[in-house]
Amino acid sequence: MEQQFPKELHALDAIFGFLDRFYSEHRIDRAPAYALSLAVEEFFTNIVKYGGSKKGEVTISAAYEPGRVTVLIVDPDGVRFDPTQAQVPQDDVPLDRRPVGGLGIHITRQMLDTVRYEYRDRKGTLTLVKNLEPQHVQNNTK
Amino acid sequence: MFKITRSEDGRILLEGRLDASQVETAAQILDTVNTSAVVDFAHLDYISSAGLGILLKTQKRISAGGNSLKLINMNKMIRDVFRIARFDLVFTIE
Repeated sequence: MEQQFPKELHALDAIFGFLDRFYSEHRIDRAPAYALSLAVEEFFTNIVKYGGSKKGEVTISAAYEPGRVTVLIVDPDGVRFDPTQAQVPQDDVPLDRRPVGGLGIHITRQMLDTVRYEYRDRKGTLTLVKNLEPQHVQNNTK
Repeated sequence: MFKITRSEDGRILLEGRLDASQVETAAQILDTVNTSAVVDFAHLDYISSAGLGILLKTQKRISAGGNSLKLINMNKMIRDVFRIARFDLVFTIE
């Protein structure tokens, strides 16, 4: 499945709708679905807020194969942003100085099995992979 | 869809999906909190870092007066998000 979305936060509703259709079609359980939706939101939001360009639309594609789901997020025009460099939250930072920035990326990296980033000629491609345990797919025959 | 309401007993009730596009809606209620309060997650299906951010902002603001938020009835997936973010060390979660 593949769909294009404008670089606006209000597109999140349509993105979740797209992903929910994909999960439903492949009978993917709530836990891996949550992890994937969270990752897509965090990275899409980063593109909207920090991508540096409103040109073009973001393409999101999702593919199922036995044992895993792969999601691609492609921004055709933006600045380099490498999510693999996100910082780990530090427990010893006092509440009033605890940052929120970078937190979403950290969470998604913990919840996914692969986060890969490629950047070339202003085109950024994120590859997100979530491995599925047998209990994460309900009698999937596709 | 996301919905936030305040019950007659003062609890803050969250419902649906709290994502980056719903932070302003959440702030309409959370920005009015000035004392300790209970936030009920029983009907919340999803939260992202944007939702964590508005909760942290509220906690920071009211903690100056010795107050805090207590978060109750989280589902397992949301609890995992709080644990990974280390927010289980910031909030009282029951």
